[in-house]
Amino acid sequence: MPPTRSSGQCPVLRPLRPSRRGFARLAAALGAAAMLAVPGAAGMLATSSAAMAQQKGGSITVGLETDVTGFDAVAGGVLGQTGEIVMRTIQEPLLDFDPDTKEVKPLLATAWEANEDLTQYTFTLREGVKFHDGTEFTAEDVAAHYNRILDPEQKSRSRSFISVIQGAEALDRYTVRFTLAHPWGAFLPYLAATSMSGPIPARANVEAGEQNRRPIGTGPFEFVSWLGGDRIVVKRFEDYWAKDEIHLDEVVFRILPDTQTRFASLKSGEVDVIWTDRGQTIVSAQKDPEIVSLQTQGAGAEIILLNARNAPLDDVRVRRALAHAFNQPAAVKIIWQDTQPVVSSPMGDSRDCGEAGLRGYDPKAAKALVEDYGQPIRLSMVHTATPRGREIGELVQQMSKAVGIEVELIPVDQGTLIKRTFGREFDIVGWRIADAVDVGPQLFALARSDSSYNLTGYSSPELDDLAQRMRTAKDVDERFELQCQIVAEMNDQATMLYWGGGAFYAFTTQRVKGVPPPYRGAVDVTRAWVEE
Amino acid sequence: MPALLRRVGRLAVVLAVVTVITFLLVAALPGDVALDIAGADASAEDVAEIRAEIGLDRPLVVRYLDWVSGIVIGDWGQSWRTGERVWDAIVQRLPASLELMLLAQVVAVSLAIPAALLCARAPDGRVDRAIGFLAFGSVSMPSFMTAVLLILLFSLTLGWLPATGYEPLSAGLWENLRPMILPALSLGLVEWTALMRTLRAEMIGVLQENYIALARAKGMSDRRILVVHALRPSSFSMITLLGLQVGRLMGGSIIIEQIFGIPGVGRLLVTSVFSRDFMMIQGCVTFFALAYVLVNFCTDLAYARLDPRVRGFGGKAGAHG
Repeated sequence: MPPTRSSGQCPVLRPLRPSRRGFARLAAALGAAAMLAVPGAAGMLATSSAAMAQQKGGSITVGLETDVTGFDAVAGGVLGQTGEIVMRTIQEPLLDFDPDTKEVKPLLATAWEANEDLTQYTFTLREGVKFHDGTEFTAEDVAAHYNRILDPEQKSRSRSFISVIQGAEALDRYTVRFTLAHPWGAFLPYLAATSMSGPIPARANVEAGEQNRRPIGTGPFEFVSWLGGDRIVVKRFEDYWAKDEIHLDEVVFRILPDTQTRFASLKSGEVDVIWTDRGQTIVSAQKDPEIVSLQTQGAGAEIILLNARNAPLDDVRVRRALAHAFNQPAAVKIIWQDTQPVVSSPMGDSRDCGEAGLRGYDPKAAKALVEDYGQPIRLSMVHTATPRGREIGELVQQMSKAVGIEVELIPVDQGTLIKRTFGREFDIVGWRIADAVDVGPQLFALARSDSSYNLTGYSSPELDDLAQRMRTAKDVDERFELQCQIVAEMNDQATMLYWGGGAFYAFTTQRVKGVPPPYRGAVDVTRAWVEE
Repeated sequence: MPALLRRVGRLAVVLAVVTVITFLLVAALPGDVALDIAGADASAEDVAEIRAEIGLDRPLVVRYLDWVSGIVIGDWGQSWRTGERVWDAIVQRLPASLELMLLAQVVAVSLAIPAALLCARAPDGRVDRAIGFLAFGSVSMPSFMTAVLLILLFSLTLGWLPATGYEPLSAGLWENLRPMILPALSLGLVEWTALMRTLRAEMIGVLQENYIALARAKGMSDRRILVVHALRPSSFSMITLLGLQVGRLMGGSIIIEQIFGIPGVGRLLVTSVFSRDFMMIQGCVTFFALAYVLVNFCTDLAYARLDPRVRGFGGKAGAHG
C-alpha cells in the first residue's frame, strides 16, 4: 500500500474481522440476524445509554485533509480515508460491523446463507429502503453495481481486490446471490466495509454518469453540493430507513489541507471533527481538556520493503543485517511520538502472532552479518519528499550507517514513488499495509510468486503453499494461524521491516456526541448529535 | 491606434509563447499519467489503452494544436482526475483567489502610502528610520510565518477571528470578509514594504521639483503638498510594482491558500501538479499568464490616466513607461 496514510492514495480493501466462531455458526445465526433486521433495533444497540438526551437538529463540520476524487466505483479511482468518511453518510454497504462482538451484522442485507463449500452466498435484502432520488433499493441495484466493477472493460481500480467474486445475480426483487471462485474468508467482512466498491449506489444515477460528482445512495444523508477543493455538504434524508437513529440536519465536510490549521480550527470550534495521524497533533489534542479524543488500535502497519530481486539485497544476510540495524522503538518514538504501537506483524489485535520471528534491533548481529557478507554494501532508499518521508529515510540511513551499510536517499513525490515501487525500481522503499479486519488478501498479494503485487520479489514454494492454504481455509482460526506463519516466514527472510502499527485517532469538540471511535480509520458521523 | 494594435499584437505573441512553453514543460514532467489513472496493478495493455483514450499516444505537435484550438473556442479540456471541465474549475475557484489578492493589496497600499508620505516628509529623520526598520522586519518575515503567528494570536488566544475557511459573498459581506482578514494581513504585511520604499524614493525626488517649491512659496500646508501635488507624480513606479504584484497574485497565493484552507486557483494548481492532471495544469498556467499580461496591459493604460504627459498611445511613450 502507498506509504502515507493521509494522502488518500491507498487502494482500499478493508475487510473486517470475521467471526471467530466459524462460518457454520454464522450461517446458523441467521435467526438472530433476522431479528436484528427490525429497523431501529440495531441502532439502539449501537447508540449509548444517553439515548434519551439526544437532540434533534443541528449541523457539524468535519475537517478533511484532502478532497475526494469521486464517488463512482469506476470513475472515482481510489476512495482513501477521507473519501470513506464522506461516503459513509451518503451510501451504505450490505453489512455492518459490530466492533464489540467483532461480528458482521445486517445493514442493507438482513439475512444471508452460504452453500456447502462456501462458494455461493445468498443475501436477503431489506425491503422498503429508498434511494435519495425516491426509487426503491432492490437486488438489481446490488447486482448491477458489483457486475460493473467486476467487468474488465470498466477497468475499475477496485476490481483486483474483489476478483474472487465471479458475479452477482438478482434472484428476485429482494434476493441477490454472489458466486465466488473459491471460499474466501474475507468476503463477509469486506461487505461490511465502506470501501469504494462496498457501498451501493442508485443504478439509474450510475447509468446516467452522474454518480461521480453527484452521488445518490441509501444513506442517512443526501448529497447537497460539492465545491471542488472547498467543501461537500450533505443534509438529512427524510426517508431514510432507520431515520429515528439520525439526529443531525446537516454535515459539512471542509477540506483543510494544512494539518496545523486544521487542528487550530478544531480548537477554536470552527470545525467539530478531525482525524489525524501526526504525532505532535495527537499528543497536543490528547492533552487539551476541551477536546474529546477517540482512539482505536487496528491492524495494518507502516512497513519498509526490501527489493530481494536487486543485488546485494538478494543475499539474505544483507537483508537480515538491515533488519537488525533498524531500531523500530526508536523510529516509532521519533516519527510518531509513540502514538503508534511497535509491531512484529500487520495483524493488529485480530491475532497475536507473538514475536513472529521478527529480527529486532541487534547492531552486533547486524555487524556480524555485514562482515560475513564481506563486500561493501551500498543501497538506495526511495522516499517521499515530505517531512515524514524524510524522517524515515534519514532514520534508515543513519541506522544502517551505524553497522556499516551505506544508504543513499532519493526523495521523490508520491506519484513517482508509487510508479517506482510497482516498477521495482528501488532497493528500499517505505510502504504500508492498510488496516483491515483481515489483512489476509494483502499478505497473499505480497507473498505469492505469481502475484503482480509481490513488491519485495521474494518468494518460495513454502510461502506459496502457506498463502494458498490461508486463502482457501474454511476455518477462521486456521486462516489467522496461517497468516501468522506467512508473517513469520517473511520476518525470517527479512523482506519487510516494520515502523509502527495501526492506531487511529479522531478528535471532536465537546458539543458533538455519538461519534464512535474510528474503527479502521473510518470516522462515522452518521449517528452523531449536538449538545449546545 | 496603431500603437494599441501593436500592443495587442505583442500580447498575442506572448500568450502563444506561454502556451508552447507550458505544454512542453507539462509533457516533460516525470511520472506516468496513464499509469496513475489505470492504477498501479493494471496490466500493460490497460495502461496503453488508457494512454490512447486520453490521447497521449499522439505526436506532441498534434496534441498541442488540438489543445490550443480548444482554448480559443473556450474549451479548455477536462480533468482526467475528477471529470471537471478545466474552465469551470478555474472560474469556480477564481473569486476566492481574486478576493484574497485584492484585500492583500488594499492592506498593502493602506500601509504603504501613509508610511511613504511620513518618510518622504523628513528623509533620514527619526520617523523615516523607525518606519524603515519596521519595513525591514516586515519583509523579512515569510508570509506563512506571519500567518501562523496571526492565527496563534487572533484565533487561538483571542478567539476573534477564524483560523481557516472561506465563505462566498452570498453568505453576507461580513461573513465573507471575516475569514479573509488574517490571510490578507499575512500577505499584505509582506507586500507593503516594497510599495512603500518605491513610493518614498520617488516622492523624495519629486519633492525637489520646482512646482513643489512654488506650492511651498504660496504657503500651502505640508499635507496638501504631499497628498495633492506630490503623490500623483511619484506613484508611477509604485503602480508598476502594484501591477506586477497583482499579476503575480492572480495565480493565487499557494501557501496562504493552503494554510487558511481557501479554495483558490493556487491550490488547484498544486493538487493538479501532484496528480499529473496535465489538462488542468496547462489550463491553470495559461490562465495565469493571460491574467498577468492583461493586468500589465491595464497598468500601462493607468499611466495615461495618471500622467497627462502620456495621453492615449499615440504620443510619446510615457516617461515612466
